[in-house]
Amino acid sequence: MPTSVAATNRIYVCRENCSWTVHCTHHSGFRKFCFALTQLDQALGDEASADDFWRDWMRPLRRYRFDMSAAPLPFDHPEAILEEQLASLQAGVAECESLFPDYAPLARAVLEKLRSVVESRDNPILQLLTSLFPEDALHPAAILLKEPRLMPAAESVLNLHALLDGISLVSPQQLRGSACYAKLAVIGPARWFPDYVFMAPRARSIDVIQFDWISSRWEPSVSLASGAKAVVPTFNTVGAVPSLVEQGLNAMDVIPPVDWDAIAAASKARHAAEYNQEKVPARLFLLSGEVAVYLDADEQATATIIDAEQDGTAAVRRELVRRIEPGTYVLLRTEGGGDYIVPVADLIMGNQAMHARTLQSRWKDSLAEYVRRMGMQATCSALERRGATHANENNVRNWMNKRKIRPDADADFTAILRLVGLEADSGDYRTAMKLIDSAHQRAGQRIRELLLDQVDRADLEELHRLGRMDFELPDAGSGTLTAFRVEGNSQHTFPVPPSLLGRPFDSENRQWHE
Amino acid sequence: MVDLGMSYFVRGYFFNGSRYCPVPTWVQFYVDAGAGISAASDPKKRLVTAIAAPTRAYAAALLALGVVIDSSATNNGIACLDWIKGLEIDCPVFILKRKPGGTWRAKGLYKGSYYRCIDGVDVPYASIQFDQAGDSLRELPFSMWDLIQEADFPIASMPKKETWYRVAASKPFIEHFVGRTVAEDLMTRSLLQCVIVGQAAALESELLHTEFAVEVREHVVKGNLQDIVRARRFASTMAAFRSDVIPVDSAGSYDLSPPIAILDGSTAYLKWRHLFRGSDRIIVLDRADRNFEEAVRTLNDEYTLERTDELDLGLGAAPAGVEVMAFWESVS
Repeated sequence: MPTSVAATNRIYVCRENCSWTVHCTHHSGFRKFCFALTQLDQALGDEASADDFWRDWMRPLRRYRFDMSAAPLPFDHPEAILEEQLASLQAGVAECESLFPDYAPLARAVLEKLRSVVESRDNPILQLLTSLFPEDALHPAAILLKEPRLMPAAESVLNLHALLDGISLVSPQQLRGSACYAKLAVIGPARWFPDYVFMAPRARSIDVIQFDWISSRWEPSVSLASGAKAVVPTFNTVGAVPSLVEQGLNAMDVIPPVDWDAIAAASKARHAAEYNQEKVPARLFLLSGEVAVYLDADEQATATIIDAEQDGTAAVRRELVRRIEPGTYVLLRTEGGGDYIVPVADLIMGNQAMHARTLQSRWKDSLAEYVRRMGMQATCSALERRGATHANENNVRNWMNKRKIRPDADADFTAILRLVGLEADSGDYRTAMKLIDSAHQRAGQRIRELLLDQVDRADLEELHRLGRMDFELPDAGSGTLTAFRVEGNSQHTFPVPPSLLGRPFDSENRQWHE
Repeated sequence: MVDLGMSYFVRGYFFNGSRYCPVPTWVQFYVDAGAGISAASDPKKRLVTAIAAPTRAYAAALLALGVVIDSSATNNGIACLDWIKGLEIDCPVFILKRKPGGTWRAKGLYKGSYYRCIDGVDVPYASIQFDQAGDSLRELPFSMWDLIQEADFPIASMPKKETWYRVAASKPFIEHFVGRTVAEDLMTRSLLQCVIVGQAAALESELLHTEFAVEVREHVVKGNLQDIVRARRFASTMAAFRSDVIPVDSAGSYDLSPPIAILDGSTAYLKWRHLFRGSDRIIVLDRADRNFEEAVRTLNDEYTLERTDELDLGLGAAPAGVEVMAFWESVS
């Protein structure tokens, strides 16, 4: 819905009258745990991220520290740390005694302090929230969480408190639109959030709630190089602040780093059998809700994205994978396998589908078999001798890939059919590939139309809030499609079997129904 | 420093769905800024003005209003009549006829120009066909070329017989901003004074579907921003235009070089910044935009690498959360 002058004016009024306050809360046990963890981290130095043992051992601890600082959850909340994780951490300490005896005392201290924290039902963030939202508090009000993953758990906690029940939990993306609040409580240090939360506030009063062991320093990350500057918000601080001696932990260090290699390892462990296939380079994306996905790293590879604007409009379009950035919503099939175009295209082809797919598989399998027997280099040379004009390693891999229908150039396709002994039926193969190609194009168009229709009717606020949304396209026969917000992407590519492209998986290696 | 003079939106109101409310100061700021930027224009160099705001809503539309108000008063558009000589044969044009009772307009096809020697002086003439068959062909001397306007109607829509349409009279709402004479000119003469690159749907809503009003001699007269901004994209083919809107997700090319290009949003700047190299540019950056930081970094690089001088636009106190940076670049 387009923004009105009145709604726009509310944004300017918020900015003009906004007051920013930091509330530092204290919990002795949690503070001790966090400092013990920091101490171990500092002692390990680079080893903390380079060594597999420490990476794996530290991950749940870092995550617990973050989750407890990022949502109003009690320290013993089952969502935050599981009993079996504690047992595994304990086993890690035992292993550490023999592998890294110098660090064992520090690791033991961390675990000891963690055990005493997780037994506590204290919830200091919730306590502060209840004091910030008294019975006569101005409305509408909202509580901002950095991590949408924590929303369901936080919601269930807030629902138990009459004063907080009904206050909206929002994600930073929801504060890009025209909705404004009388009061916004921000859980976690200001540096965790995009600048606009504070520089273009959608509330007349912003209260940042954070633990006192985290530095509360904040400044906008960019501003125009010269000219009249906007006034930078000044935060009033309430409660104990980290002393000069302690400095406070850098807010950004509390966010668990994305361990791309660990995510890749999780996928490899789950799909070990498929890793025997030929591999293609893929970009790894971290999606909202601790989901990850590989997308084709080919320069020309595309994926369907939903460009959801804050004014409620959305566009569904194909985007080059290399241009997909954090904040966009990528559309993946979450029920019925990886590629959602294929089943729809098969429906369009009707009773010709099976024959066309059989022919497609036959020449691709024969080519793959040839590569296995003769090697990639020899295959490329053999194709060139048979008239192929683009036979290099990358292209041959692409041609074998089930997602690629056929080579673009006729000369290359003819050379392949000659090489694998299918030249006699080349007419049939060409006709079948043309049929598949046309069906794929129509399928893509059909899905986009149906999707756009659903997106138009969808509550995009919910998409922005949770970072994901399911779409059922029963008419298309494509199963469930899910739009996931992209949270990050790896700087390097990973070799993965083509069958894993576009198939979302749990980045933390928990159960994930595919 | 640019002298802005008085504010253009004094005694202005907007309709909030149930009643008229006085326009907020930020509305006036953007209109005045658009006018100030237009007034500062210098053909020897190009002005880049970046505005970072808490929201992009209405900023570009109001800036365009200021640009059109200022440049209409100074006739600052692509108005040089030489453009007529550059038209292709059979290019559609409008021809105006001014009479005491009002202004009339006809569709025509440009059939070429030539020189005729009159009293030893070569006078350019343009040949215009007023009907489909070519039975009605007239020669217009250079002194009447200001009555010829660009048009983009399909040739098939040419009337069988020469037909003149009455042009709607100007509205008091328009006259409030630009005065009666300029208002009539706005209604009848197309000039491209600025283009806005942005989200077409949002701009359409802001320009066409937001009701404003101004107080004129104790009467309230209503209108919308499109009455003055006259974006060609949202106007009928027979209406005179002063600006155009280009959807940000369109192909990324535009043939004309308007005096001012308004890049509405980070994506518009990042995608379209290489175009309009001969135009002054106003860049509106929404702080809540996903690409805001990238756009600011790119813009700051442009400031560092291409700035020849800075400019104080003298806009006075900007609304809270608004940052303005203006600098000159050499014409490339």
